[in-house]
Amino acid sequence: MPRVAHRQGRGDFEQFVAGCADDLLRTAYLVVWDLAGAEDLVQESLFRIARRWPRVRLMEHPAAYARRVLFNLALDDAKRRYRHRSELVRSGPPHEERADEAAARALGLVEATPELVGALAELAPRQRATLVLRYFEDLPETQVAAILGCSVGTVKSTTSRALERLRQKMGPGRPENEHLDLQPVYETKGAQHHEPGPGS
Amino acid sequence: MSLDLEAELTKAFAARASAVPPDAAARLRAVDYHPRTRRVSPRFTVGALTGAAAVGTVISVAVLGSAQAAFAGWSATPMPAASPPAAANANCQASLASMPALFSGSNDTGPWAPVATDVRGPYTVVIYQDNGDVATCFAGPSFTVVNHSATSDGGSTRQFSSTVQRSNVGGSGQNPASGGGFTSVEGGRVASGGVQAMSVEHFFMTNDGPYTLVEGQIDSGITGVTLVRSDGVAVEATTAAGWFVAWWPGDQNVTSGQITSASGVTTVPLPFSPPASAPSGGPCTPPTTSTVGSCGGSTVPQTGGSSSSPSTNVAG
Repeated sequence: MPRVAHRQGRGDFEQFVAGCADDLLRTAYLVVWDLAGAEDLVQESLFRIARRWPRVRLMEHPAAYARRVLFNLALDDAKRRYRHRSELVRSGPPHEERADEAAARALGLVEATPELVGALAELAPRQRATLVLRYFEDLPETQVAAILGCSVGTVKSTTSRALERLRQKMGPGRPENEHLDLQPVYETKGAQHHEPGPGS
Repeated sequence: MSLDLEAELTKAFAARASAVPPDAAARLRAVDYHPRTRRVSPRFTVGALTGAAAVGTVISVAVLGSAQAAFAGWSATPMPAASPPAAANANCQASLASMPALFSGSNDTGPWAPVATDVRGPYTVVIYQDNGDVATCFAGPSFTVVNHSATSDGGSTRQFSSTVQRSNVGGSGQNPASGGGFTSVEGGRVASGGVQAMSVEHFFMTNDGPYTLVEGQIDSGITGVTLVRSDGVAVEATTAAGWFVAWWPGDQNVTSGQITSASGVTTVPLPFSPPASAPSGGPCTPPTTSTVGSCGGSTVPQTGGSSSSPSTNVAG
């Protein structure tokens, strides 16, 4: 019965949220680098998924679709904020430790070098998103490309540039004003970011 | 590419991810992401007849001004109208345009063409079509209610619905909160004697009170439909392009129909049972940036059937 199916769908969605909210939030936190922003991002993603849940739930991997929605929203938002962020960066330090980072550090949760954390914070969102998918989610380049809506070659080049950027920022020869160069590596030709359709 | 750097990267990400406080995820899990709406639309039947595989419904309510007398000016006989009045059409089209796409790549983006217009006093009901999609708009002086169904190709039948509340569309002194609630309960559907499919839905506008909307599709030879309500009152429906539509203030059901064709007038039974219970609703949260409002309405217990299962839909 359609109504029964609908109710089952609601139950499925609640289970889906319960099962993936933590993972999505952690990933979002690494991409946007801000806890409040990450919560907003995940919430908006889940709202959108809820609207399309009767179709999404039939997918083989609803969690993968959720990740695509999240990343596309994150990168679209990053584009909108880029200009404003650039202005802020020009007038402030390259990376100021936020309260949540300081708390994590105080609890001993952040063992990585502060230089690396600071360098990651300064990456363009798309670069950081690519690194998150490759080195946190541990996804192959083909899946990263599918999630980000770009080619495998773009994933490789973005990863390479991001790593090189990290090396530069962590290295001894790092220029003093390098943080001013925040031109993101958006794909200006071809790929446009849209929220993926459930059928895609 | 330095393996050391990659290893450090993995470690740094893991460490940072572990710093996410548990209560943040708990907050996300506690959010009600469902637009609480359920309404089985007659377009589901239409969709099934046309081989559609998936159907979605969006209901939009736009409150344009303060309340006035409950459905004043209504008449049992519709006023002749070949096309929707300009103001009603503008409000309906604006509501339709503001709705989110039901499906990715769906063809429900308009333009919406009116195929049947029912005018009774200052109230207009318009059935719109856009390729295979159908929308019904009920436009009054203080509100616009749009019910939109979309179809898409696919392997199985799926249904969903959501509520979209449109904020005030402009004009000083208008207060969308003053009349912005409505509840709908479907009375049921039936097909009988030239009526291919028909649905009866009961609505309750916060300021205008209850009203009942009847719409459906008829055989090509049918030239007129008059609905006989449970209180004995006969209401002439508007018929056009294979559709018929009528509405009336109150929550009376339909008991029979007088179907006019070239062979004469035939009375057919259209037995609808009253809703299982009076709908009740709760306050809605304001629409989010995605324009979907979350409503606190209750759902009428399920009866299990797809043809007569009542549902509640609240937006405010």
